[in-house]
Amino acid sequence: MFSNYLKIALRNLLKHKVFSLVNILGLSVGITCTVLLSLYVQHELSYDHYHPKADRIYRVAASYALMGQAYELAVTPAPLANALLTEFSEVEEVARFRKRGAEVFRYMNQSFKEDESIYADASIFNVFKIDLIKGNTETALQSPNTIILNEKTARKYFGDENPIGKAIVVDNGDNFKVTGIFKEIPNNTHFQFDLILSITSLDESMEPYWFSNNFNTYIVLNKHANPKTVEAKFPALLEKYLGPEVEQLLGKPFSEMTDDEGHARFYLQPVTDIHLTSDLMSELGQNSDIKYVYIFSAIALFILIIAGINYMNISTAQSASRAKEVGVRKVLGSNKNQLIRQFLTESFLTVLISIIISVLLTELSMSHFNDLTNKVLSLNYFSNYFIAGLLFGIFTFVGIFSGVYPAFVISSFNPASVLSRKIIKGAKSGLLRNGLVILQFATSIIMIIATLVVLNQLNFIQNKKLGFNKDHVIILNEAYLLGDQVKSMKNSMLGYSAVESASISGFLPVPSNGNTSAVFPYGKKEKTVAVQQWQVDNDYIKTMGMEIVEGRDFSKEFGNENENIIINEAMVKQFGFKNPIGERIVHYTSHNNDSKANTVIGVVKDFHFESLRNNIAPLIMFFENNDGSIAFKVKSESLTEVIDLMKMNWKKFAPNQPFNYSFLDLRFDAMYRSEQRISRVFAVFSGLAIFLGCLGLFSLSAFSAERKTKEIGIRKVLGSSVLKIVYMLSKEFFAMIFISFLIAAPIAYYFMNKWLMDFAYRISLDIWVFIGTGLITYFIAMIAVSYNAVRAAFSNPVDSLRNE
Amino acid sequence: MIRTNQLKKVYMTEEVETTALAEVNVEINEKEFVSIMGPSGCGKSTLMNILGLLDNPSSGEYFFLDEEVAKYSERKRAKLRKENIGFVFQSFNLIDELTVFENVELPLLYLGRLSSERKKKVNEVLERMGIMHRVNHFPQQLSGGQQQRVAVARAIVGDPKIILADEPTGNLDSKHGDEVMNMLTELNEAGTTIVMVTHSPTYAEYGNRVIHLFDGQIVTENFNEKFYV
Repeated sequence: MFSNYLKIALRNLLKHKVFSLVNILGLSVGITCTVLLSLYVQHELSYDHYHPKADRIYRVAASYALMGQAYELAVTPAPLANALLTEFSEVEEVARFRKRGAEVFRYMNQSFKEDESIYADASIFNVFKIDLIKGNTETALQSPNTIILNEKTARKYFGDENPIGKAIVVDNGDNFKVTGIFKEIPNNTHFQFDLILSITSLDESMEPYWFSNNFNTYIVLNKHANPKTVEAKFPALLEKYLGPEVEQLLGKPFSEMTDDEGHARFYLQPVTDIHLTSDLMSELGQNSDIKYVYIFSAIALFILIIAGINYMNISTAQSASRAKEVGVRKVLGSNKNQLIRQFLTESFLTVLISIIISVLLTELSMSHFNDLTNKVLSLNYFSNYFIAGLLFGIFTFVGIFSGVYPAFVISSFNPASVLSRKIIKGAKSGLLRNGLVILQFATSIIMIIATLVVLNQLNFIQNKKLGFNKDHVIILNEAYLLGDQVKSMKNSMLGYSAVESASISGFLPVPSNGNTSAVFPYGKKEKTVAVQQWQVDNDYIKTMGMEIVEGRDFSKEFGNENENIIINEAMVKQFGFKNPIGERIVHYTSHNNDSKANTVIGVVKDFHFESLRNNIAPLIMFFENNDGSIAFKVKSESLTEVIDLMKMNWKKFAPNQPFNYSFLDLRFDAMYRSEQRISRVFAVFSGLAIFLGCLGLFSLSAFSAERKTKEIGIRKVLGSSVLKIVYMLSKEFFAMIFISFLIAAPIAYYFMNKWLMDFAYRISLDIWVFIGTGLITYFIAMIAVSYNAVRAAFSNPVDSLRNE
Repeated sequence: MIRTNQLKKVYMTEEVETTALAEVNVEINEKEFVSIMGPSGCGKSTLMNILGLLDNPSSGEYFFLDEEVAKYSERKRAKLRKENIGFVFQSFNLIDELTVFENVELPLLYLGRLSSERKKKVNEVLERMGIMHRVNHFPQQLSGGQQQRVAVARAIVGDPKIILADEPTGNLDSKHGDEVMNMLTELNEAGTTIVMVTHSPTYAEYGNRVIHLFDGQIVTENFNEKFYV
């Protein structure tokens, strides 16, 4: 009996080629999208679960609200780790990381700039799963000036040589001895390192200061320890160690500091939550956001539902053509259950074929999807039980979901009436079908609106007046490698006509160096706030295209510029200066002891130096040397020429050092990479959603035209025009799309408004985005529907009437 | 074999109540060949549907093989149907997606017969109907007469006690019509009860009894002399 079901299922698929194609194509695309998005979600959720102690590893994070500024930090003081290990019985193990930014590593004549280098405690092997291929975990990072490399990096420096015992020069300074080779760290962890240096190489790792936070501190709790108990002990710990330092610095007791709308808190983050929920200052890498996991899951589900609905709608609509068969089978003694089984066989077969095709499609589209999401995903059906289970779930769920309804509708036909052709409609389900179509289109419309809003916001950010000019500025990175030749490099470049101006400073209005510490207006220590303090030269403001709104820029004509500062408008507002020029601001020079008052000589117009998600914070510029990088403002047509010149001069002034440059506007764009990625994912998948919806609409309109063949014939005989018939056939679909729009618009408005709230500077939701989306959808649907309507309308009425 | 008592069928539409059968009493014995005649809309098809257990009467009694089946559920009717009744239709009603062999095999599948038995039986019946050479063709590839022969083969393959034929010759030319009638006569002579609806007085004569329906009621019953010869 089953082979008979299968036989007729296959023959039916072949007989109704177009509808089978629509069904299978739609389902395959839908399943492929679901599998890809699920892979993404699965990968996002897998972060840091591979450490054997993952459920007991926590990071200590800090939250400070002191001196008028709030900080949420992923880093904590250097002495914290040891204090936890010795004073907290719950803590089994501690390990610290200290990230210092890119450094240059050299072996023999080869040197490379490495972004992924980190200083770490020797105990990291006891906390995380980091596998040494060569070397001993007990000793590898014990001594100062030792380093371990991953395989890829070791090969880069040493080729086939054995690296163990060899020395690598770091930043043209100390020698580090290679004591181990580790296996590549998996990509599903919140940190990625190629080189790990022993933390004991850094003096600051042994300093006793609780006020400076520079170390990512991880702890492993005992098997039975409760993280809440540990957190409850943090306030006393802070009072004991941080208290005295704060009192010394601010001249106020710690308790008063923390009462007065301020606080200093430590808390624990489970290591497995960091990737998706942590967005603090000084993270070890760019984390993701749980929000995107939700969004991706929702898109996957939406697309699967849209594809499933297509199948269900096409099958029920198609039921008319199956009526005779059902009648005959019933007459011959089939009962209802056997028919239901038969139709379910058909739907399961369709889903199975779709799954097989989607496996193929998934393989083909994997690399594109990886580009889109910036992931390195791959799929092994035999070891990835989640995806295998998902496919089985889709098989069962979509098979039943899309097969049961038509199965019941068709199998309940009365044989007597079907065979006497009293009903050949299968149209009873029209209301449900229309409802499902509305659901499909509402979903698609929401996705399109979301895409447009995200794109508009990104566009807005890109074109916003930032207070500086990010275009045609080339940054020469790691200028400190030039040593005392920094100024020569700058002057040499200024000799070319293509270079308009140049400035030496490591501080850029994009994520770069940052230096925040406490300042107060002279004589008013109680107004202490922590602000950004940048060291710039006299060409900085000109090169960046910033604007002095009051007073003057730094200049060589004045001898003692070191005593002067330029502040931004936000700083003026923070201190409430009426006449900022001539005011004096006190800052601390070195470790908390000396303080110095500088005079304000100029006010720079506020410019955005952080992401537009944040408001502009107060900022002070000092006239001091910082050779982190050199910025060149160049003529727009000379970009490549200038890069060649830079390279030539670099070779002259810093032979054998890695040459590295970037563009200011690209570094600016990088701040919005996650949004850009999301907008692309949205664009692709909302396009697919609309495609699937229209595929369904296309076949539904074909059925509608088929069902009304006789009506069309009669109308034409009676003199109706083609246009009127097209209108008659299309109007119900357009009514559905209109209703979809009415449902989708407010939902999209609500969610996109919420999304925009993340940005301090944002667009307002434009009504035209909504109207435009409605029109686009309407237009696309019109193409799908009118094809069938026009075809039906042009048909010869005699043919359709002879049908009876 | 078949006996009805005050059989009534009423169709309800939103506003109109149509009586298709009004208190029909009919009795059909084993090995009879009964023809039913009457103008369009007289209730012939309705009567056939009820007799064939495809539909339930609105009221009255229906004894099929001495069982009162008037109020049987669809499931019970399906069971009785597949075991005892073969159907032949005016429009053949073959399943387009199945071959000749598969169409004829279908009733045996629903009867749960084994594959080897099915094969033997189907071939035997197709042989008898003279369409063995068409066994792997699809219905659309056959002429009307051939299609009806397949339909008859399908009707008898399960060895039913009774065959209900609803205008079996209606879509056929006279040559093929005669062929089908001869086939039915042969079956009847071999012991199968036959009830046939027809518009043709000539073909009605093949039966041993002709029932005339008009407006849902039996108006006359003629016994055909030659049956008793």
